[in-house]
Amino acid sequence: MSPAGTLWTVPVQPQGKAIRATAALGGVTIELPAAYEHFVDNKKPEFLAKFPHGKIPAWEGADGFKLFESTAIARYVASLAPNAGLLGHTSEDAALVGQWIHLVESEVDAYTNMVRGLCSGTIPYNKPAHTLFLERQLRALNTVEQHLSTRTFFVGERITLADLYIAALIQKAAASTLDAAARTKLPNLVRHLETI
Amino acid sequence: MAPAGTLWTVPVQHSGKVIKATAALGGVTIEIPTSYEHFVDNKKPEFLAKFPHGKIPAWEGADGFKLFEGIVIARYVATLAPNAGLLGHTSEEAALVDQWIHLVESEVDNYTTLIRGLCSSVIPYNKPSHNLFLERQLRAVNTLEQHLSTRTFFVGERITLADLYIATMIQRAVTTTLDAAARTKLPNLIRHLETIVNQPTLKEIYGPIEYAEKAIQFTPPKKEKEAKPAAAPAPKAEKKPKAKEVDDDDDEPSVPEEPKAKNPLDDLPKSTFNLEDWKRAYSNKETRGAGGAIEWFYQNYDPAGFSVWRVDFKYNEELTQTFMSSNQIGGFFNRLEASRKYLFGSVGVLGESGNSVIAGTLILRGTEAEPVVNVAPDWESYTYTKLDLANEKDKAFFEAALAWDLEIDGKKWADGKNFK
Repeated sequence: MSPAGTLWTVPVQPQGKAIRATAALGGVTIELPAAYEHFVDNKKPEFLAKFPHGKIPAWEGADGFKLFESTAIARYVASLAPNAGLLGHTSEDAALVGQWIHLVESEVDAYTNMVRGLCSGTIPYNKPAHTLFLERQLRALNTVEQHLSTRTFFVGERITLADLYIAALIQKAAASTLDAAARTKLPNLVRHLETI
Repeated sequence: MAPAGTLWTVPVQHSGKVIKATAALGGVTIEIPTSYEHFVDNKKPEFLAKFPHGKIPAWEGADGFKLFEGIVIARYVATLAPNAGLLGHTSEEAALVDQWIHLVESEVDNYTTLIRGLCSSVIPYNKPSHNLFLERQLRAVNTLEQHLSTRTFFVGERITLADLYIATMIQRAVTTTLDAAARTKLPNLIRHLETIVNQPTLKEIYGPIEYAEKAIQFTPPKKEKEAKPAAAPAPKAEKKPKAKEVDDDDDEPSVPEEPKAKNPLDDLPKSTFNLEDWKRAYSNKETRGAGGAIEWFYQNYDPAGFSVWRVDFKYNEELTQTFMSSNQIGGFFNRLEASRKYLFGSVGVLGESGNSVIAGTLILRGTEAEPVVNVAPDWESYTYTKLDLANEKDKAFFEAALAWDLEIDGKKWADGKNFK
């Protein structure tokens, strides 16, 4: 089966992982240019002509359709395989998938990034900000933990894009802000991560 | 027509506005409880039973379907009116709507929120972060401007949810970060904003655009009600994040304007020691030795009008890379900017990465440290010890900090910053 499209990403990119997982579960063949070199190729005119913001992940369909922004690509690839149910089966299911992804993106992953930025000096370090961001992240993590305490998956009884996307972001958090001490209080979240 | 559902939001909430605009254009009737009181009702058990995260916007359909996250609700409401085409007409158009919304959410609006947080001290202020966020926002805004240079709407030839969402967030940005100067370079983005906001069905929902002449700047907190971010981060952060949920989308009345207080340091009796002359001497002369800055200092210093201090960072065990500690000093100095007329500093990181301390000296107007340094929200992350220049050890410390050859417990000066 010829590829449905080409995805520019790098192996470590969590959002790229979520899209690749979506394609895998949906049976959508995608091409991943192994020669792609980030910070170099995305500044070249040919890349910018297709993707004016110069960001990855970036998608070009076999039909020439071009798209960027991770969640947009993930949702679009899922829509190419409707039978896989990765967006649920109703508008309501799809909305709930969106809800959980958005919560984790904006209130967990955003803070993982801020804390990493502070600790690496990209954003001038200050402890009160560090503490504030960790607190806010914990609040969202507790909501997610609570939700998973009675469920295997985020929406319905099967894996959806919410599970794939969130697992990628939690995998990243577990390597930085969610240390051993924090994880002891988030057993369902960790169980979910391991499951996916 | 019976309402399709109930939306909990408050009038100033930006993401609530997007949902209302979507419902209006889609012809979807929604109920909005006007008696809803945020920070009160969203903590009650009945609200949390429906919406466990306690956030608004929150949606409950007439069929009992419950949903939160503003943009997700807007998209869902758009699906209730497929003929309005607010998500385009194909999967590809829907994906492009998502793309533009996500770009603005993650690279424009989040920076508006972060910068407002910095300027109101919800996040401890520092200028390098402020500049970094402005730069990043500008990069995304330029991509939007470029896209709109050949288009009226973001996706296809008609209004979609992308236009509604982006107009809302740009309306918020032009009152805060996109000032008159910035806007001259964004004619298409402004044209787009005006087009959406002036749609007859949407005018009342969007309200007037309040264009800022100048971008928001940092206002140091009032000295009387000085919050203590280092000493008590839990209580302060407990209050502020709740304000943030609505602030993420709203017009931010929750942080009142700080009137400029007269600085009591200006009322001190005139001193013979001129801080600006000292700063010049320090910059132009060798620090140690005959004819040097230290010699000049002792010839001119007035201990009645000024004082000399040792400053130490309280949490040295957390310091890692020395260049990051150096950045931290720079950040602290940035936050002391409001006291520029009253302060000179020479502070460094001593030791090596993973085994270092931050220490140095300050020369301050007056005889107390707090009135000068508490303009910085994180002033309490440091200890301040008055130095007695008649005491040999204090004098040696002071001079070594000025000369950048201070050594503490075998840790040598690695890098430093001057506030001058």
